[in-house]
Amino acid sequence: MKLINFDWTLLKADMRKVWSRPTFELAVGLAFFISITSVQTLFEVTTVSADFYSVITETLVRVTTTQMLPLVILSGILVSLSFARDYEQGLMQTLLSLPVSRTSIFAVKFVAVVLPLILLSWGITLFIMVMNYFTAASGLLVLQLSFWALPVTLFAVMFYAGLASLIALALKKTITSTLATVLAGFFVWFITTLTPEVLGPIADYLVFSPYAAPLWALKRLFGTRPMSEPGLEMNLPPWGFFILIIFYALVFLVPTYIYFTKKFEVKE
Amino acid sequence: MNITRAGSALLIVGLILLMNASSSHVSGHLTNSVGHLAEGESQHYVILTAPVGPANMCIGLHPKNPFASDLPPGFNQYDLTDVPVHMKFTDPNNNTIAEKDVITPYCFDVTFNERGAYNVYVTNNGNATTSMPLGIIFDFHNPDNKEADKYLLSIILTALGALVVTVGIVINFIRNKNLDY
Repeated sequence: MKLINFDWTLLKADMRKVWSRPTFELAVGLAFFISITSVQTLFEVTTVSADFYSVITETLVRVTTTQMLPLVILSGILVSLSFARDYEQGLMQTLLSLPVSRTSIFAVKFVAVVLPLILLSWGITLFIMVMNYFTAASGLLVLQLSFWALPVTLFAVMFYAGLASLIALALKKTITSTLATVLAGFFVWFITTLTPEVLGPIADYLVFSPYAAPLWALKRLFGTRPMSEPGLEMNLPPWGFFILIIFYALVFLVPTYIYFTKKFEVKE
Repeated sequence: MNITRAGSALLIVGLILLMNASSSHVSGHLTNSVGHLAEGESQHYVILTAPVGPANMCIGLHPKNPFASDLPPGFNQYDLTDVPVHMKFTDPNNNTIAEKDVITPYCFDVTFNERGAYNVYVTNNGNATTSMPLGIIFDFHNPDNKEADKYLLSIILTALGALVVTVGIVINFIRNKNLDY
């Protein structure tokens, strides 16, 4: 039972270090600001009350989409800072000499960033959704739909955090790895903005990229109306997108974990 | 996390919400028209809204469109003046706010003071098929049209955040003072 061996004291200490002042306050402010500005005042004139569902889901998708880029960049920065800064300051050597398994150290460093970040993001999403759409008639629907933002954000953040930890362990320099992570994050986002006119027919496949797939998982799950002509995304069912984003979440995480536990050495 | 940091997070959220909620985000003229209404037929509009305060609602008001070339064929084809209709307006709790026989275009003042779905039922009592648009007119950037519940919540969060930060600072001050001795 690995979970029992999980070092909670270490996790607490690492969380305190990663989320020290003003990181937490800035993250709260940034995530809340971008989320609240992406939500329009509820005012729709329709002919069927069932439109309430589409209003809620469209807002939820919009909030999650808006949060995604800052969130993944932030997770990348924090994870690379957590690994590379400890290495540069010599703390990694101390950590590895403790009577704690490498698996625990890796898990602690990863969880200390990812868990508070997704809880913060989901908390803000839930708060905004409840504030905007919670009525006696729609309360349960709002809570049910808002729940889905949690796994989607978790898997997206896990992908970037895995990538960031790989970069940090490979480069071992705080500034270099942070910059490389930010650039990688922006690159993965940027390619999804390219259109078929620029990129050719391959642009149709960008809906399956690590940045777009989580958002499409949410859109396909809710059946949100597409903004443009339906494309390849309609060929993959919602659960297919969820399998894809779970794969993306593990694609860098597993090799990095194996490298950290088996091969990683601190050089003097 | 100590109490001062929790308070400052609350204060940040409150202030951002206050910035967002202290101004009006609904402004101007909005008209919706769906399908045609034969004589004796009824139509039902749903207004999903936040508590955005006073507005003017018009039954049988032609949609405003300044660009004539953009109008689809058949747009505004019916003469909506002097069409007798029966209207009913209910709030989100299904309480009837207004129910009467009127002649279009008929405008009346409404106040959206609850979040939820307001319903407008219109029955064509005339002797010809017609469209029956529903128009809602807000003042331009009237502060009264801010979202009342969000504004109140933002004030509560800001005040609570400020209070918690102050309490946290005082506790820290007392603790540090005791440590000095």
